Amino acid sequence: MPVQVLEESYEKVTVVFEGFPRVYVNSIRRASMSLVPVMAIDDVVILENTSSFYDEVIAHRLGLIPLKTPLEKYLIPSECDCKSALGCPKCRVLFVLDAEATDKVRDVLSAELVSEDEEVKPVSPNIPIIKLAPGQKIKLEAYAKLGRGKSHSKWQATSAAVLRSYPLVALNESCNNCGMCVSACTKDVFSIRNGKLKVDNPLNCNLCFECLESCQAEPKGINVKEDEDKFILTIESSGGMAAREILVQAVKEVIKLVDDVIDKFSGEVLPVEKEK
Amino acid sequence: MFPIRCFTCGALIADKYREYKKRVNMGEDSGKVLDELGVKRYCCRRMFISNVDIIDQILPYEESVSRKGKEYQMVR
Repeated sequence: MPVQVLEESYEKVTVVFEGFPRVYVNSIRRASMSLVPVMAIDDVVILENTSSFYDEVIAHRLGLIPLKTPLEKYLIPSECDCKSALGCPKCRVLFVLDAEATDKVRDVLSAELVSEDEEVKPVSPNIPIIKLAPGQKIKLEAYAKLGRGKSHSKWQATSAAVLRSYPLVALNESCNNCGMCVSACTKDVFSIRNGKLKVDNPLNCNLCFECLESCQAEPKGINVKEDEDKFILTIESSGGMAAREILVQAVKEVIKLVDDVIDKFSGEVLPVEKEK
Repeated sequence: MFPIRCFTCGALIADKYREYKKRVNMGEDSGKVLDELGVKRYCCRRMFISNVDIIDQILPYEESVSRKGKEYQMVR
């Protein structure tokens, strides 16, 4: 099977690609970080701010709050036909924040951000935006838009995207079960049971070769190498979308880029003039 | 205030900070609390252990200013 899912949850997906060149899988990884669109607050209109924070600090903190993103529902502002600075209902979501501290110091949490659209809301209701002292007040409108990670990290859909080689760890006959590799390995690949060395988690191996350094047998009792044809891609979502959705979207973005190239060259490809 | 995302990887961390602080102030080991909160990478962990909430040092001043303001209004 060319693509196999090792582990999957909403936040994280680990996939093995088999038979793809490394550069292809890496382009998917890079696209998942910089090309997958995700919602983030971009424009903030401060109506009233008597807090101890500068307007800019509040706007910056609002921007960094990850938002749940229904991708099919909204357009990227540059691809929307409205051409308006603050966007239209097709390409933006309005948030309103109105908070005041009356008798004691309190945190203003992301749960207090009122969204225009039920589906677009902060990933967690417990993100502290600012702290207010008694008598302080904050009132603002914020516009969330789709954007890409390459223009600002607040639009980055992933928090970690890692591509690594597929490790092949095996024991051979010369292994004398001394167990030195068990403590040398930081990834818990090996264990000793009933005096016998076992390979427990071969996929945890990060190919550091510490086990070979520690091996007492001669020749070495462990074979460690990378499978040149397989790669493990791990994508961790920052919360806006399911990790699987980010992976699929990243592939679509790569295809879109390639299609753009084909479009540019179809029809009128000029022949290269040969030098005589 | 505590940053909303990790400076290095961009993972959301701010929603876990209140619980982290509460539990560490109650005497729990901060490393263990971070493990249980699911903060795995060391880039995110340093955000927690190295944070100093300067706003908590400023707010008492703001608080007393607002109290004084109210007192003046009452005198008038």
